[in-house]
Amino acid sequence: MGTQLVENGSFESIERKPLRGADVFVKALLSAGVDTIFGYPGGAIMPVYDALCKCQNRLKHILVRHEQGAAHAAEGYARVSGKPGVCLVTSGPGATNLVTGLADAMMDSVPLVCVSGQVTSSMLGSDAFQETDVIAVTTPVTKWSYQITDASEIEQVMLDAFSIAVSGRPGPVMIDITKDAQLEACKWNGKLKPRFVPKLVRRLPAEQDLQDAAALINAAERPLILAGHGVLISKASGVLQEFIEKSGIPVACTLHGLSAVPTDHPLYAGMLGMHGNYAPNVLTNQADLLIAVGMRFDDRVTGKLEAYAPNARVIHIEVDPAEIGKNVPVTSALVGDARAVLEKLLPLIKPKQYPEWLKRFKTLREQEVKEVIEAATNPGSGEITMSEAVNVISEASRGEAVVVADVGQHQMITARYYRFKHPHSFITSGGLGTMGFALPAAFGATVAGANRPVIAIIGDGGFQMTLQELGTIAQEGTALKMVVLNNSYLGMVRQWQELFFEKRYSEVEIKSPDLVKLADAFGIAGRKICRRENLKEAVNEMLESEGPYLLEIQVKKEDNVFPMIPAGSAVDQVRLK
Amino acid sequence: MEKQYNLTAFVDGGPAVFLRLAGVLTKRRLDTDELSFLRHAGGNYRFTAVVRTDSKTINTVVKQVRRVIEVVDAYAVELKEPENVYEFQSNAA
Ligand SMILES: Cc1ncc(C[n+]2csc(CCOP(=O)(O)OP(=O)(O)O)c2C)c(N)n1
Ligand SMILES: [Mg+2]
Repeated sequence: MGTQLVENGSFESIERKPLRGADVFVKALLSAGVDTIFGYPGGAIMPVYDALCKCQNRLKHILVRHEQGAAHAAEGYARVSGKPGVCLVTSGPGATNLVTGLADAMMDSVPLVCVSGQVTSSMLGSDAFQETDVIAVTTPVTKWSYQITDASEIEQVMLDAFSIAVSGRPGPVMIDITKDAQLEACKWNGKLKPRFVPKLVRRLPAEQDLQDAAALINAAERPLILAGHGVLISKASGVLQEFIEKSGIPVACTLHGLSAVPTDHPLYAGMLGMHGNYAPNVLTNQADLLIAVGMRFDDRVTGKLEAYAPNARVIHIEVDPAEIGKNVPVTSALVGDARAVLEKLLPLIKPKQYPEWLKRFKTLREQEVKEVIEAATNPGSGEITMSEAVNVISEASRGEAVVVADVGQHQMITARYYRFKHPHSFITSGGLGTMGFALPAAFGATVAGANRPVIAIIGDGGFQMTLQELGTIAQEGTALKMVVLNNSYLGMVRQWQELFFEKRYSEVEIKSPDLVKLADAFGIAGRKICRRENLKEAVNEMLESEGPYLLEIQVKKEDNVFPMIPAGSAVDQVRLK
Repeated sequence: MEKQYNLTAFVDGGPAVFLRLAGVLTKRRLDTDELSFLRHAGGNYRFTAVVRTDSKTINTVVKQVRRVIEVVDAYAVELKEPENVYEFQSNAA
């Protein structure tokens, strides 16, 4: 056994014989191809940390400042690398601090493998020190969870954990390991196979279903493609682009679908949903066919369901059968991986053009430019607006960056005004809308080695939720570019209070510390600007800086994000002001 | 229209899976008449729920139950009034 480990080169310095559960656990990480862990140690996970220090050269552990940061960093890492993000925490508070990140990853289909230590199995249920029923707490917010109480289970369960996290519709997995299981002597098998295989294979739709869907597409007069996160997860942007170019069908993206199609593509119709673009929202309700790819008709996309797409048949291409027919009835369900299904469908599609239909998009686009975009991105005088700041960042980075947005007005503005050139360029918390997500997630994205600059765009509120991760960023020397769009408000909530609660502002004013001084305290370069004439130059200075950099931009305090579909309204009731 | 359904799932896993399966129902606050988790001879479990809901909801719920990793198979059947009711006949008459 010892010789086998030496052959694999993974445990050169392990002298312990026999191996313990903790050693086998680390070996399981290595054989799953893990190279980075985000974590925080504590009593119940100490044997694993002890085993980790024997292979630091192969497995980089990044010490975050709060376990929530570990979870979001792992999400950012996963979304850039396509590999599962791995978190390691102690029992009790270590595990409960992960919960927000697990819920976030569950909602946004992000593969995570999170592992917590647990009290010794003989003490389970006794309210022992730092005992929390982690499985019960995390079950509703995970794709799979399992408690290991016996070292002999570790290798198999970790194999399962990784295959479950990435397969089908990806998601977070929680593994809880009791301390005795970590300490117990055990063997490495090396020949195990993942269980639950039937659950893990990606199916393809039947030939007849593909033919039927193609017939619907070929007969449509006003078709619209809705591209979601699934397009990016399955790496289908290439074939999607071929598909739209051959079929001539315009495409709109959900928040998570952004960057699947370059923003300047002639058939790109913009973003769907509450703060999306005018044309695709209005025209959803005029379309006679919606082709939904890797999206789940979230309520932020559909608005009032009863009034959604009344004239359209729906083709739903989706890997998770439970999403089909959940919100919107479908004519044709193509269950499968988005890329595989599009590849199958492509040869069945007739080349076509829709000049009259595309003209409607153009007209509404021009109206949105005139009534919203022009003034937002080019206000000329007065305070800097968020939209012009994002516009400048987009120009200065030439659309080449990986952009990570937090949650709030600045998020919607970033989604609207950053002009993406490459797929996998936009990361945000969509389903859960987790303030505090962006800083750690952007850090994780940087760790994944994006090979492109990573820019985090964060509100003054959200920044103060996870700013402790500046410590991690500083310690790792990560060249993350952080932009805080400071409006001195919880802007999105303020906007709702203005529009829907007769401007009764309730607890939305928020003071920030001196962020440049704060960054400086962490040894991070920073700058604050308030005036338009400094904007471009400051953004360039940030982009040209070597290490981490924080740019605070003081923006207009009371500004609203438009267009907007008020909650509960139909998509074509979208307001321009 | 609300109907009564018997939802059954066969589970290759332990009692912790009960929590996850029950959660699929409780998070929707489905009107539930019965919930059970029974161990079979082979060691696997059978999850049963009797719920009142509409056909669209039960359809999605069955798919959400099937999506649970340890679930081998799941289905729901509509419970109807039995056609033949055998009444107790007293011999004493
Ligand atoms: C953890 C969390 N708490 C509360 C909310 C509700 N919420 C959504 S947007 C928002 C305001 C965000 O303020 P800020 O970060 O300053 O961004 P802005 O909208 O001003 O751009 C709040 C409080 C949330 N999404 N997440
Ligand atoms: Mg703000």
